[in-house]
Amino acid sequence: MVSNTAPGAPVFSEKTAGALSKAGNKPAAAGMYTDAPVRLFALAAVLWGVVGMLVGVIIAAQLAWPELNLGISFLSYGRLRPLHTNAVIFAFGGCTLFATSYHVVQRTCQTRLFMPKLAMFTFVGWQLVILAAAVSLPLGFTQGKEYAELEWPIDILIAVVWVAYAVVFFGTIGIRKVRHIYVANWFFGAFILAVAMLHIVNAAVIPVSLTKSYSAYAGVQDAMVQWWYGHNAVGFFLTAGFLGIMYYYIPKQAGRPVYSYRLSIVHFWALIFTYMWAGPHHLHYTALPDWAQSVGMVFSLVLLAPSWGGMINGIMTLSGAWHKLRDDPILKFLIVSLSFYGMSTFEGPMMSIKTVNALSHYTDWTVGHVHSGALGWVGLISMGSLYYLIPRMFGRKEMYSTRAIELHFWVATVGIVLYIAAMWIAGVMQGLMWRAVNTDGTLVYSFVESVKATYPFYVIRLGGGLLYFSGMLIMAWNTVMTVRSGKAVLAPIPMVPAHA
Amino acid sequence: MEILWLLIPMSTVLVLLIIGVFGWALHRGQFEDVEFEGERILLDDLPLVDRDQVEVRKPPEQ
Repeated sequence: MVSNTAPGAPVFSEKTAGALSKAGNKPAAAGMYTDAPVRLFALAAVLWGVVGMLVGVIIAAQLAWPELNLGISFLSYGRLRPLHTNAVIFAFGGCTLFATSYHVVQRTCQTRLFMPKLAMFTFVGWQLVILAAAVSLPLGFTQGKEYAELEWPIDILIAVVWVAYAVVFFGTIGIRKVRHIYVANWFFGAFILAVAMLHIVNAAVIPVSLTKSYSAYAGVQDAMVQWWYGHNAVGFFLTAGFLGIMYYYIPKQAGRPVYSYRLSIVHFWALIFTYMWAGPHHLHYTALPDWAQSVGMVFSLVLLAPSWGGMINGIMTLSGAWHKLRDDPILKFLIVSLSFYGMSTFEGPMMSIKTVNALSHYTDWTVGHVHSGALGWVGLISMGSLYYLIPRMFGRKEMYSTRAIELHFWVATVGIVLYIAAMWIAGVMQGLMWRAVNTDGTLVYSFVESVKATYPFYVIRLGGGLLYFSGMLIMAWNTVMTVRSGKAVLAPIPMVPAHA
Repeated sequence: MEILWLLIPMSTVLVLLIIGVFGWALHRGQFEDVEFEGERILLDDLPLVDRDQVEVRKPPEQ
């Protein structure tokens, strides 16, 4: 770490400048932001992005050519699929959320992190969780709950790390030097609290050995808890957290305040009041009571309003400065991610309508929907914010290659379009084939006929996934070059204005 | 659906908590002069210089 690379522009006071040059190599020095955990989480996010998407490409290829599991149990689809979802959601997405929330909460509160060592513990702990997942899932240890596969010892480690995360985050809010808590922090805070509650309730199990446990709930009760957890994990992990990213990095990258700060506050409160009960739409036409399914559907439809309010607010931040989109590939990532957010938050409520769900459920349409949110919204906004964050964490103004960012954007976008279009067509086709009946009431198609008809779309999906993955490789290269040509710098905390 | 005996009270407590936090925010002035708060994050940026693109102006030696 060096302290003399900050430019001479006198935007901070003499006093802080003095502190800057005297700070030496102590990252926790007073008057300096705690950026070490931000830096580590940002780099880890890029690494896990590459790994998670590579596993995704492998299982996409296995769907088209099942022999690719090579007859090895560790490489079978059923074991690699949870590895893929855990790696992209909790390793790539999780590290991005840790990095950006630690960055945003310090910059907007104008203070260093509360308990920096505990923040470093969250980094080490979270990497341990990821490594434990990477070993235990291919070995076949699983609780069998989607997005909550990890066995109970790992679940306990997650809970410990998460409590430490909450202490660091809310502690930093507690020692803030700016009275107002910026809207991004509200979203991050809701995400941290909600995930803690969801994880603890859904992970309640009775262990029978170190690697095997049984859920504390049974039958449809278990299904209800699982999808109360599952959909809220989408709502709070993959939506609220990333909306926090959106509300900080889009205004910063565009150099303009968010379109309507008032609307952002309404967006936050409306979203957290209405999100909790959308889960039952995952259980349409199951043993779940009919009325509970309908409640889930109604809440899902209501969610369209706050989701679109937030999307419009983010996109309109560029109102009057649309030309910036032409030259700035990072803004392209951030704004296009919002258009995918708008698309999937429209598609989601539509698919929660029972009659639509009767066609879409259990088909690849659901997979397409998830990936328009995952690749389009979560992936693109993560990459955009990391492209903003990484150079600044290494004393640079921008990434090593801006043209590589531009290339990454186009490769990724084409990949997403191929992926979701293939899955939409495949899904609707499957739904129609499964429900087609002859006049005498027998099925027109056998199941395997629908599998055969899906084959070309699985190949197209693999092509889309490969493009998206190669974009991630470009990002990894760009990150390595940026880190090599930059140096980790201590950033001084600016003097707080008198009225704060 | 005995599980609702857990989930519904928990959601109710949660909503009450959310209302409580909202009240706190309301009374502690979190919603005052909100449009300025949107601009504040743009005010205190340290300009950065890429060493391989522009020469660094080093701060005076201490």
